[in-house]
Formats: sequence, structure tokens, C-alpha cells
Amino acid sequence: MSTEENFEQLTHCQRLKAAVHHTTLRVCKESVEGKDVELNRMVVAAISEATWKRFETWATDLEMFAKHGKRSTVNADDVKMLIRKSPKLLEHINMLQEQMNASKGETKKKTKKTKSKDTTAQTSSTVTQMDIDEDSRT
Amino acid sequence: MAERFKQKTVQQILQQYFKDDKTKMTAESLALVTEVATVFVAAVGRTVRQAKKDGDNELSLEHFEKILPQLLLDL
Repeated sequence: MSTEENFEQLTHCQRLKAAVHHTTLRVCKESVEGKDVELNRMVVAAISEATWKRFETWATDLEMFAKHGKRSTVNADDVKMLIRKSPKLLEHINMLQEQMNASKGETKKKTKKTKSKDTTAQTSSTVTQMDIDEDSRT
Repeated sequence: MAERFKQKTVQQILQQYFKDDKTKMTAESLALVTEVATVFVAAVGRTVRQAKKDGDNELSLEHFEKILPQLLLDL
């Protein structure tokens, strides 16, 4: 039944929105710690909504950048294109990438393998270090 | 920053908006996008600065509205 599918899609969407809102609230609370200001629920909701809308733009852009590079998998360079307007953020992301690659280099030494064609497998082990769930789709 | 977005959540959201079902993401790119999203939300920091500039100690939508245009242009 397509209406059932629509309903499930809707609740899936709502769950994701709720997750975004939840994380937004936590990040906001952390940001205002010790700053001597009071958080406002409406502001958090507004930030959460803006972030949600941004995801849509980012997804479309990332997909387009990947297609432009004749790929169907979005990679780090596509993400860097996304933030091209902000040099400081780009610097921050580059540093993060270097950190990720550094720990990836350590895992490579431990496995005693030479160049692995499937680098995504290695990066996903780095990802788990950042206390995130692994996802087989990547 | 200790709080950040969960990569799995970010992946599911982006996957929803991808027009092509074949589009996937590398683990690296997912980690980076998650960081960008976290930074975006940390824009609340700009709201705080705006509030302080205005001499208020409670954040209001007005403060957020003032920083929003520049935020959207930057990110």
C-alpha cells in the first residue's frame, strides 16, 4: 500500500528531524556553558530547522559535485567544495582529515598489508574510534 | 567540542535527499560532513555574541535572525 509506505517514510523523516533537534539542543547547551546567557527553546528550534534545510542543500550539492567528477560516490574533495566559501572552516576540515589519515596510517602498519585498494574499509575503522556506528553502506 | 552529530543520522538524512539511488558516500566524506554540520549548529555561538553585543543575556530569535544571513552565506 503506497499510503502505508508514505506513512512510514513520514515517521522515518520525523525521527531524523527529532534526532537533529536533539543533537542541536546538546550542541547549543554545550556552547553556552559559562557564557552567562540563557538558551531559548525557540532559538534552538530555529537552528534545528535551518540545519535540516541545509542538509537538503548539501545533499544536492554533494551529489552534483560527485557527478561532475564522473563518480557515484561522494568523497572528501566534494565535501571541501561544499565549504569553499569559508577558508577557516576549510582549514579546520583539512586538519581533521589529516588526523583521520594519521590514525589510518597506524592501523595500516598494524595489519602489515601493503597498499589496500579498498581504503574505505580502513577509514571506517577510524570512524569507529570517533564513537560512531559503522555502516556497511560506505 | 564533545557533542556532535551521529554519522549514521547524517548519512540517512543525506541519503534521503540524494536524487540518484546509486549515490553513496565514503566514510571519510561522511565524517567530514558530520563535522561541517556540527560547526553549523555551533553557530549558536554567533547568536550568543550578538546577544551580548545587544546587551541581552537571553538569546532570542531576533539575535538569531541577525546572524542568519551571514551564516547562510558562509556555510
